[in-house]
Amino acid sequence: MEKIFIIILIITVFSGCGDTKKETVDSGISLSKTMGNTENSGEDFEKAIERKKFVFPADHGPHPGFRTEWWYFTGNLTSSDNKKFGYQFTIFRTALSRDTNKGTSEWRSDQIYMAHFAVTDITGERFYFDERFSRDGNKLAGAQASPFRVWLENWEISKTGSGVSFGLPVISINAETEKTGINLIIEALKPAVLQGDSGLSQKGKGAGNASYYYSYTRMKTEGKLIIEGKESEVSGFSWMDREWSTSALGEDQKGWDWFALQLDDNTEIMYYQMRKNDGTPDVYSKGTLIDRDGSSQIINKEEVIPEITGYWQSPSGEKYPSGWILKIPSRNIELKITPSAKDQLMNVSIRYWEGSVLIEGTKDGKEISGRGYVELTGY
Amino acid sequence: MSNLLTRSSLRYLFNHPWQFGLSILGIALGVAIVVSIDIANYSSATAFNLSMNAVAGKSTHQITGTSEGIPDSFYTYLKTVKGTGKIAPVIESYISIPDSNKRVFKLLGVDIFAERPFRDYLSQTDISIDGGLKNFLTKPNSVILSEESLGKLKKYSGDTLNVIVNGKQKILYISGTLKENEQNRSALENLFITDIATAQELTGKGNQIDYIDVIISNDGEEQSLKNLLPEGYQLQKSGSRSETAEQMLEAFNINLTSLSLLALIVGLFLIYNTMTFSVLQRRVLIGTLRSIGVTSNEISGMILREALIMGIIGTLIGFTAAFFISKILLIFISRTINDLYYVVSVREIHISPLIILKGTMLGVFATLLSAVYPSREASGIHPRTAMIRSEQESSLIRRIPRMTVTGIIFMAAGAVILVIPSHNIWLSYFGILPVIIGFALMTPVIIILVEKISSPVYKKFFGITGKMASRSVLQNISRTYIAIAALALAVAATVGVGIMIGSFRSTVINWLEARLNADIFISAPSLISRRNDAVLPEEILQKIKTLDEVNGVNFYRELIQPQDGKEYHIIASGISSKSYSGFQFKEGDPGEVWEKFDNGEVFLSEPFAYRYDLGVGEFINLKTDKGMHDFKVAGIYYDYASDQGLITMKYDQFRKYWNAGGISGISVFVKEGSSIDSVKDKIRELGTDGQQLVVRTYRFLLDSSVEIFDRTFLVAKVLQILSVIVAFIGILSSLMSLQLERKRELGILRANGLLPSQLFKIVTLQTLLMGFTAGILALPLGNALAVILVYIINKRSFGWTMQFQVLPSILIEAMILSIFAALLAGIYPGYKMSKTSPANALREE
Repeated sequence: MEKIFIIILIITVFSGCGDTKKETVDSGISLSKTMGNTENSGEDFEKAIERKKFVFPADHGPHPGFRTEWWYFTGNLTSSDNKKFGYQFTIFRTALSRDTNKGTSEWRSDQIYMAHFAVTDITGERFYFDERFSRDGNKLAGAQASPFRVWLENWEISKTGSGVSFGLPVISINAETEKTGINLIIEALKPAVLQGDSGLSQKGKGAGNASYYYSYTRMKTEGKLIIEGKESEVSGFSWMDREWSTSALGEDQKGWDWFALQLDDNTEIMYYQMRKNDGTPDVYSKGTLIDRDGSSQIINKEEVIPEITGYWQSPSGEKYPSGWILKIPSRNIELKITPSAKDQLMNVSIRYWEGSVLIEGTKDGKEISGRGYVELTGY
Repeated sequence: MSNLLTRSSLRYLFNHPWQFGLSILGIALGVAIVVSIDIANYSSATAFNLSMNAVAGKSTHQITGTSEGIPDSFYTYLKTVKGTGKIAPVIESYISIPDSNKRVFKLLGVDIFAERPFRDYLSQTDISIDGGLKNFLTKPNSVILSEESLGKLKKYSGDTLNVIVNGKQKILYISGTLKENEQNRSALENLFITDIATAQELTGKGNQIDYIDVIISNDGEEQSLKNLLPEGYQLQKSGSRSETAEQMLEAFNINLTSLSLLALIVGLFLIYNTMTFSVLQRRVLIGTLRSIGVTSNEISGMILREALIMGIIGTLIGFTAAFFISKILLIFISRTINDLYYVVSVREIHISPLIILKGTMLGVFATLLSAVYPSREASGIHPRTAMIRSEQESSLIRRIPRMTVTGIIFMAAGAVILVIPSHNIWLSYFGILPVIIGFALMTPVIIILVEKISSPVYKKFFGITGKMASRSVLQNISRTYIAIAALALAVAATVGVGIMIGSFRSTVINWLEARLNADIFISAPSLISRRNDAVLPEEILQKIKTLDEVNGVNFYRELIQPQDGKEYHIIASGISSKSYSGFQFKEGDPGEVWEKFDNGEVFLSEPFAYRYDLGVGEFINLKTDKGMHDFKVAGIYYDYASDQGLITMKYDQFRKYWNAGGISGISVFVKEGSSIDSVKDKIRELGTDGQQLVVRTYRFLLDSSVEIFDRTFLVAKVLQILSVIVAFIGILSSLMSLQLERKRELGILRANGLLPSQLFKIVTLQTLLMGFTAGILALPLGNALAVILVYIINKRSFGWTMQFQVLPSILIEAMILSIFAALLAGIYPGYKMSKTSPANALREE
């Protein structure tokens, strides 16, 4: 459950490249209004109302009948000389309309793509991020199931070689900015987890305020990472989220905190907490425990006790939680979650905090550690 | 002592308000004309640059492709395969709005997703998620424009707008507005922003974009980008289009500036005249001042100070007037630019510090300069001789032979400068200056000659008063000659410019008649008449050929090929042999040129050959879609269609090197016995899919071409009239001074029994003679100026050969103008003098 606020981002396409515009965008438009089931959905988009049967590889490709969709990768990597890194690479798709009258121009398009790319140099305590927009017109961006490829200009997620693992081809991710770049080969180590109710993930009150959502929670990752011209051989684990929907947030929801935790015992925990306007957690908060063999169990809001242990204030003044103790007594889990770097603020069109975290704690009384990613929105 | 002099100065100036006022008016007008021309030129250039900058944004370079543009796929290749960073696709075109006084706007097609580094004003839109953006990207024909443009068109966001793009009618949908600020207001005013997809669909460009904007920060990036470009593509600096435009207008601007300087020269004569008078009138006063111990330096300082005050006041008034005059001139000038060169919409006056500096220098320093001689004269007044009134006159009479010889030398020197072979227009204008000075120096001797002849005639017809009038011109020669010279110069300028325009016009009409040798002419509606930027689909040519009444067709495709910061206009001609006679060759054997033409050699128009110094047998290297290629020159032909010059080649040859499709113009021969009008109607119906065809008959095309020609020279005519006004003020001022100075003399005559009506008659006859003399002088000088303009200035500015043609009507008009101006200027002084009581006139001294 990630950034469904893509639609707002499109507005900022028009804004200059500076940071100056962001305040107005943030404060000017409420997240829930844009995300919610407003008059804007008068277009005849499909909605995630009923459970569906996921079909692969077709569902790896785009779902243009839904308004928004993303291919979302995070991962924690370690270089051969034992330096630690985190990365996020996401390509978002949003449909402006379902109008099939496309005109004659190759450029004519109603599918807009956005990509976010960030690298955290944990050892060097630096954070790099960038953002891009394009359209699917003139093949500048796009997505296809077979052969699997999602791209925005030369940022690309694509099938590489002929290997297929748990229904997903072995893929490569290529992205570069002026200062950083990644070139990673990624292979699923566990089957896809269908989140929520067999892949139907209810996010807010009312039918249709939901998404279709599946994840590959542990993926072997190897390749190159470049920072300021310096290239490192890296390896580690990635996490992939796939989600598509037309509307999700309810009017009273402000944002969310999302945890993707990969523990050293080869299990994973996903938990998201929907925050209401008054800051309290919504009943739609939910999570999943993924076992070594890939089997999963839902965790409900009542089972989880999140405790914020510290805060970090962004240069523009927002206060983000920075450090948690996550207790799941029913599963005998207590984890201390610490950001790998305080400042992993995605200061892009819409600001959010998304960063690599370190995990220490106990599970069934035994010490455990791990690495993961946390996303904080609506602050 | 200086206090005394200042008071003396002020007292004199206040006692002669007319003289003072007219001089200032003369300076003011001279400055106003020069400055307003400067402002108009500068404003149009600034408007063009602003719109260019608004279009270019922060781009440092542009990638241009072949004559067709750049295929979409090449852009995608750069973006997705090569990962080229800051690049953005652009389509540029023009939109005209039929219901808005034919206003022209620029259509800019962009990809908003690539825009961020380029055009920051795009961030200032009210586009919202619920309507604007979606419509902008997905609704066909959506545009956004500035709030001010919307206001002027009386439209709102959400409205539709009927426009013509590339000769096709379209309905645009306004999906949002751009918010302008002080800096970009005028740049955004004429801009329609649209999505690149919409731009392609509106302009019918297929899968092509016009160019790619690039931001490059170092040479390494530039080189690696260059390496990615296919044959025929170029990476050029963003400013080069503005530079090209400046070059295009250079000759046009220089000529306007020179015409404006002519008005200033006339104005300077006027100042000289006034200052001389003021010295003459104060001879006794100055003599008295000298005798009480005022030094000659102090006297000359006093005169210069007066000139400085007049110069400053005149310049200030001149600037104020220039502000208003330039607005009118701007209308003429921008229309001419739109007719001939490029689309520019000028709505604001722009003034540069340089213009202010130049205007001030001209107004203040030129005034001071022209007062130097009178001030020296004043300082030379000896207390003893100050009382001898005729001293001034006799000293001038003594100097006449020397002046005449100096005048001849000056004119000869001017002639020498003018015949120096050079492409430099300024040098040519500089050569005119000695001719004018020489002419002014020769004025007194001409006056003497004219008086010798007129004196008996005047006596015979008007009796003693006639003789008195005639003699007084001569007696006061030091005062009359300057006024006569100024008037003559202004009239001569009218004659010169008039003959030049007349010669040009008849040359162009002869040429048009020979060239337009078909019955019907078809083109797509073009926004610039001498730059055919719209094309017709080729099917139309085929359809016309198959019409029963059609006996044959010629056609051409015009292509503007940017190359090395220049624009070459290429005419690919599908001409049939029966139209060969329309080409008159200046160089090249008419018996051979057409065969060479068939084999791929090219013709150059006369201005082109002049501009690039090319002759028959030489080669011109052109950037084609297939790379650089040398074309051999087969002939140089007379052509007056474009001052930028044209390269004409056979259509089939053109298509070997360029991909550009479409037809710019078709001319049709109608079979004998068929009605031209009915064929015209049939052709008009061939335009399908909203394609508008401009179908014109021979007569109509000829008339509209001449109309554009006349419009082009409207500015010259306006300037001419202004010069005459300055000269008129000059002669009015001189006559006023003259008569005022003769107050006592006339008072004595009145006391001796001369009736007021007789006095009026004397004054009138005198001014008549002065006007006549000025006319006599103006005719040869005017012809000389015309010769210079036709054979030297025009040739050097544009490379055109013209047939010199003197219309008798111009000469007669000049004579009438000169006499009428003088007479008119004499009325008030004559009236005033005749009303003065002799007692008062005598007492005042």
